[in-house]
Amino acid sequence: MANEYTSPFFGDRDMGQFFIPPADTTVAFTKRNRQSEIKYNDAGQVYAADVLCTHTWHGTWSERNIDRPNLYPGDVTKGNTTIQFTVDGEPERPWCVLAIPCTYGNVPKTATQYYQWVRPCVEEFNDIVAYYYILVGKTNGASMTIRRDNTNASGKPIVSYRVVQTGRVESTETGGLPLLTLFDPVTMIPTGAQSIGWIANGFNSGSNNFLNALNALNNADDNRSSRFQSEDLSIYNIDPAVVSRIAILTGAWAARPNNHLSEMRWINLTKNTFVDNVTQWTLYPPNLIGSFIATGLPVFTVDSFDQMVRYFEGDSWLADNDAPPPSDWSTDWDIYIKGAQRPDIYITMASPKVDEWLADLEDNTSGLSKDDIKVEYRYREYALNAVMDSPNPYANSYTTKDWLIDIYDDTRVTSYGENLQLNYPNVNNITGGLVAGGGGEFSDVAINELYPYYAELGFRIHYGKYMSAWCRYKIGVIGSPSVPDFVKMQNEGVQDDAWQDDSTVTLHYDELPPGYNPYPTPEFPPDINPPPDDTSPSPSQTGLGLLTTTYKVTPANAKALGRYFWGGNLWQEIKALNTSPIENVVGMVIMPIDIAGDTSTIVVGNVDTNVNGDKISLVPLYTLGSAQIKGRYESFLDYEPYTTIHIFLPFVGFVRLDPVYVTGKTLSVTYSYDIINGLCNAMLFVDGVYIESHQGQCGIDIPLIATNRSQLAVGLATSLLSTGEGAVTNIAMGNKAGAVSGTVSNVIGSLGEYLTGFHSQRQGGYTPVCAWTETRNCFLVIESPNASYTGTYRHDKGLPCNASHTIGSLSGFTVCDPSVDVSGIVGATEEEKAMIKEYLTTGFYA
Amino acid sequence: MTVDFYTNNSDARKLNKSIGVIKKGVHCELKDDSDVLRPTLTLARISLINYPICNYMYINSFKRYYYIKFRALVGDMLQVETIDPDPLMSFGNQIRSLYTTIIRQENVFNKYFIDNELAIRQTKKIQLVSLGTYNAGTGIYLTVDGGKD
Repeated sequence: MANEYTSPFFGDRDMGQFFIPPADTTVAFTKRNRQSEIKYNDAGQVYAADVLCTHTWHGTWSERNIDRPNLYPGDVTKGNTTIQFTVDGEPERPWCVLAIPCTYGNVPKTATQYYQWVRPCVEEFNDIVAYYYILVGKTNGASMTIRRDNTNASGKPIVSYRVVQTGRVESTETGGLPLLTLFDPVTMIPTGAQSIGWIANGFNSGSNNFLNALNALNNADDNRSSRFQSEDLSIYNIDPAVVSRIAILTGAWAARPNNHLSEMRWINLTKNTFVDNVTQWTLYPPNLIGSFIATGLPVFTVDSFDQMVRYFEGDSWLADNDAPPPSDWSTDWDIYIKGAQRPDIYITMASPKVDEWLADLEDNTSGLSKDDIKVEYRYREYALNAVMDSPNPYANSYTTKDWLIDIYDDTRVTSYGENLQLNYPNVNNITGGLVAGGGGEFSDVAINELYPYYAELGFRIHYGKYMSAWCRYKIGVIGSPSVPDFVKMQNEGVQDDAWQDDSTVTLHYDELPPGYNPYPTPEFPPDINPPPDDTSPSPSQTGLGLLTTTYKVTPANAKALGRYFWGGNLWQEIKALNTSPIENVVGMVIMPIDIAGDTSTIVVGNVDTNVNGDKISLVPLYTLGSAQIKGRYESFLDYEPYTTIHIFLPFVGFVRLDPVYVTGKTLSVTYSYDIINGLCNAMLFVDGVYIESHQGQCGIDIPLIATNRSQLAVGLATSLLSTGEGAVTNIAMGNKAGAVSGTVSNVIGSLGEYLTGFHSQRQGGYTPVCAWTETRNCFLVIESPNASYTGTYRHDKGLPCNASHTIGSLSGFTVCDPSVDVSGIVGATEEEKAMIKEYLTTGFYA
Repeated sequence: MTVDFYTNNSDARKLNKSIGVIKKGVHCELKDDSDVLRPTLTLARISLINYPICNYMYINSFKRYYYIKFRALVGDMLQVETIDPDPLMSFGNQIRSLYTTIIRQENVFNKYFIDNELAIRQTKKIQLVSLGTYNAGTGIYLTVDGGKD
């Protein structure tokens, strides 16, 4: 009876994603075109053509007591198909899960929806329980295939997850690492315990540790071991040469206070085998097996068991003197999409109430910080199968051959305040997954039949049970798989229907977040030591203020200064010091940098001109920007002689860079200046390490002391001094400066022109004037080769290895060095040994 | 001697071939001039009805696999002629235990070794990557001797 079920909701919040069916639920299938529809009491729907019905009992999944629908891909026909589920009504079962991996045509596991319902829990199960569900599979390229190697009566493969291990994780009473406690599936009496440290660490420690961990689990539970053996899981013999992917489904359930059931989280691990034959299991973010679970509870990562626990603890984690958390966690989200094709996507967030709360946590004995508040992002991408009659796959004219595929989804969890940056290659798996894999889940879909359609971004913040509304935003994707175009769709940001708050979503096209550095400097890799602090660049003093003084002057003040130079009082005051007053001016230069200084009157020698200027004491550095240089192939092709890299440095020109130093790293450019001589120095840093510099002439001299002009000026000034103050108002220019005629005031006028225009006396191929008129963009020119990799290249020819291995440890196409020694093969004739050597050295399949 | 007959569709270069059993333990006669690498056998047609789909055999006495073809003889007899021995399958375990230098491999490789097998076009892709725009402002700077503080 429906009223016997307890909602998994907490407080008064309604989790709309949960559906609580009565014990006997009728599920109606309706096939519509190539999409099939499942309706649960008209309360929700999911597209599917294949159904896996599973329920769980205290973390042990089984298909007992469920009348499993005998439906397989292709079996669903038009019309309605009714499936009768009989859910066992034993009262001790705390919760059940019905898993429905959705299938489209012959493409399995393109989406998965899990409908969950919760029953009243008996008293003894009041601990927090995390469950896991380990799947092990082969891989064919980039996508994971987990299938039971059986066929139905029609000879079609039955596609389902292969259950290798299930169990549950229970928190310990004494703290520390939680234990994986194995229970007898019938009596629920613990039969053994195993630290789950291997979950966090074992996968990174080599395949043997993982094997040992699983073996230990098996040995700890006889029932479970026998069950595995009985399932004829040949793949269960986890051979690193065979198994490439492992998926773990984790989640948590607790009886307190109201039967909370967390969202399940897929943790995918992929095998990395290195040349030295070391195997590691690492997280594999692209998730092709349907990680999107239809609940509203937070995602817990493998590292966040504490978060999981805290989630169920309510407010008990708060210290007495901590300010209570706000009830309103609404968050303002800004999405910045820079570029239409392969854009960078930035997401920033701010929650005023949370910021205020964090600021109020003065004592903060809970040790709470921004890092504890998690930000959950989801990126989901859909593609259309483009086998359609319409010439325009993006018009609303889908034919019966079209279907929508959830082609990629990914979830990331970061800390509050950490803005997220995505770029299309990161988030798109259409080409990466299919081209590289050419099989697996999408083996039945030709690559060129898939077209991106739209991407959905989702995000929220949460801490413990507090969270913001789940906000979503759709971004249209048009174009081909390799050159997609992101366009704005009609759907503005939408919030979770059930948890609406005051969160906002604002989309900014072709903008970068204000002040946002898209390429944060990464940490130094282990093989590069950061420079000592004393060699790090710092603002330069360059001898300023020792024997000279440098002022920044405005054009107006420069003119005023000129008038002062040629006024009457100056010469009276200065002639005691010099015969030529211009000699006190070391230089005047226009520089492409604005330096702040302290405003004061300009003092020439010991004469105060009463004209204001900004006295410069430090010349700052200017960091122009940075870029991450990614290898196009991530192979030898990214280096010379195949790939060349040049950088254009404003005021310097093109400079060739060695890809060895910059590929795969972040290159940044910082300028320093000599404002007396007009020089600049462009310093190049790779991952923060100073590697080289290039000098340029960026300043434009105002030729007060250059030969022609200074001689002119000296002549003028000398005449002025020798004839007495103010005596001369008209002096012929004479032979020294034939090109200039006029008066002293003409000279001043010319100075004014210099101050407002760009002139240079410098000669050469790359003058400052040229530099000033060239582009100010600093950019890399990367010339990379176009290699012709066929889809079967690796399988047909292999790739260079050049390492020693036991042949039995390898799989796939292999070529041995001609030095391979086959003389020790016992029983083979010389002719056979020659044949074997011929195979080994020309290529064979291990 | 007894012979196991199979059908084999695997590439000859496969160390571990996928073979389907047609019939095991078939009694055959070894022709007198046969050698261990290319034996010729005779057998009664009735003992191997499915012989047209057989292309592979294993002779336990020789501990070897062979690629074969059949020739019909008079009197409902068949002659099994060896095309070639398959030393990869026959000595597979010993081959798998060889520890040697691998030049190329499908799954264990280093992408940073130069691959001379790869076809590279003469054309190149030109990619521009911006580090940013120089925009530090402008200033006019006058430097003079001395100057009092």
